[in-house]
Amino acid sequence: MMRTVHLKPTEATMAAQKKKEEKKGKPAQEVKDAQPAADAEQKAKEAKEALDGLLDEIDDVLEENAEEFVKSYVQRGGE
Amino acid sequence: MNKPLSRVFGLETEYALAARYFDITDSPRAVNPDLFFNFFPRSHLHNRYSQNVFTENGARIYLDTGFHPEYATPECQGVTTLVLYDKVGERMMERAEILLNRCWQDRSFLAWLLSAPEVISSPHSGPNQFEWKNYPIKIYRNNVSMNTIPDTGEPISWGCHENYLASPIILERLMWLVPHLITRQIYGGAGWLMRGTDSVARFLLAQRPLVISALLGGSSTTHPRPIIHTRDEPHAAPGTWKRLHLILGDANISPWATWLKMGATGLIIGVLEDPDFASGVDFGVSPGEVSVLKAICNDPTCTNTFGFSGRKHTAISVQRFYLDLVRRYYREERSPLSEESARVLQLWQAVLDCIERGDVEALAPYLDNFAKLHLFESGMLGSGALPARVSKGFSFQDKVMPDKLFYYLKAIDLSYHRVLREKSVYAAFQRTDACRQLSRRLEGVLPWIAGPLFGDADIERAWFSPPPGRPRWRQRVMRLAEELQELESVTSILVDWSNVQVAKANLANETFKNLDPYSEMTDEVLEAVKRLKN
Repeated sequence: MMRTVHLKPTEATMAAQKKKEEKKGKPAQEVKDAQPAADAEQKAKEAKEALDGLLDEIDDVLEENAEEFVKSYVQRGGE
Repeated sequence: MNKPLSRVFGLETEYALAARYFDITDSPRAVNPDLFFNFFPRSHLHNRYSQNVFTENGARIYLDTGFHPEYATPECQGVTTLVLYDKVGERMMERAEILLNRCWQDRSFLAWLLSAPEVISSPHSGPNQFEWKNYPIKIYRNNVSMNTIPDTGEPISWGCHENYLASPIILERLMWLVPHLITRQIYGGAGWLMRGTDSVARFLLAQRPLVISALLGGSSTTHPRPIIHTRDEPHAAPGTWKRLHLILGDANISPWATWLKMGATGLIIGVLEDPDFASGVDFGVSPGEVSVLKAICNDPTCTNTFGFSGRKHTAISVQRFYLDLVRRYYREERSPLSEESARVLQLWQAVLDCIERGDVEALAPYLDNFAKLHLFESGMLGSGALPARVSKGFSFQDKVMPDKLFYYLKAIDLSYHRVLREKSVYAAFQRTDACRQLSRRLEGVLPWIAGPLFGDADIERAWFSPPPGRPRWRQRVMRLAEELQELESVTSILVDWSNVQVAKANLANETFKNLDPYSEMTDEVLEAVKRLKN
């Protein structure tokens, strides 16, 4: 019989992911009661932070050379 | 009337093995198939060279046309169970990717694997049979690639096929289902960014409409590809059941997208199965109107009108018609609606409301096509290609997109489909505050959507345990064969959905049959177990 490879289904990538979450995961910021102007400013700041966080997270998983990566996605037809 | 109490669903997903140097005209295989199939939890009694095996949880792993490994879920009663078992298949592919690349990076690991005599004796598994130039291997879950068919320029595609156990009457009413199937891509599509030779960019709601060119068809699943494949292969008692086979859907990454798409379709089939209720559902779609599938796919605003038999509709109006039909049916029939089905209806309505309001960002955490639209818009904002936030995210549609921006966004598009979560844009997006903030919009309407469909513990259980119904029978027969092997010389097993053949050295082969997808045990198997104990 083929040897069993001792790796639990989810174990393989869980550790790496957990580490990432610790590094990145900031608690979601609550919207606080404030003056309307300060409120709008706070919201814009939060939106900017959310966008930056999103782009950082995506850049972390993207391959170095986007064009080469995209062009190499070549397959044969299936059903 | 035969009407299943809980619908049996099945989903067959073809994955894409992307090799580093994959010559499609020359190289017969991207990876060593014997090694690949050994990474899945199958019974050791399967023929060791078999590239068509059943796993412990009742699913099938198979090498399909074009070297696409396919995972077909076991027969699942209920759409949440279906999505769970489908996700298990995706995780199995993720594990296979990790182990394949570990063989490449760590030859002592490979040597350890190959030291099992069965592997060494396989004609394909010698140490020289590995095409290391192809490594690292990446596995994707989507439906089209970047290359096209050389002569015609048509997209290259592989499938994600849905199965619904249904009463035979459904065959007379397939055309009543078609308008739903044509329009459900607004929430069921996986999204795709394209750029023509003129560098004009276009966002598509779904991928498979690119290669679907007929409404119904019974022969080919490759050319032409129909929406509904009408082959009569029920894998159940003929005459009692039919298996409705849909080949137009995208392989979704978000479990919610599969859940909604197949849940809604299952509920509509339930109405159409009732001979008394379902009159007046005919939109009169003509064969040529299969072109509407592409027209909707090309319109991420979901507002364009199209005609069926000269009458004007929008994708939303058709979807609302079916939602109301299902609602009315359950109200008038006073049939109990399961909690699962009630939630499918709630999400269905909330999604249509959001699309109609133009608030598709609220759907980004749950639906693949709108997730991508949001990610592309964010990518453009971040790279300065968009001056300020625009409300609908369609700012790049039909405009020239420079190379650098296109390849950046296209890399996001493709990486969304990686099964390796460490490199998946979907998984990355789900981790972000941006995603959590957007989720609150739908959570305001549907508080239950804050909880996941299932957790990692469910996935670990479903890795080895089949769901209720015939998958448990198959596992029992495989166990029986293993127990028999200790007494008689069982050489191999040949498993199919409704029968298992146990081959023995003395040629007294035994075949077990089960034509009832709901049945977990048959008299045949009970008797065989009794014989074994005596």
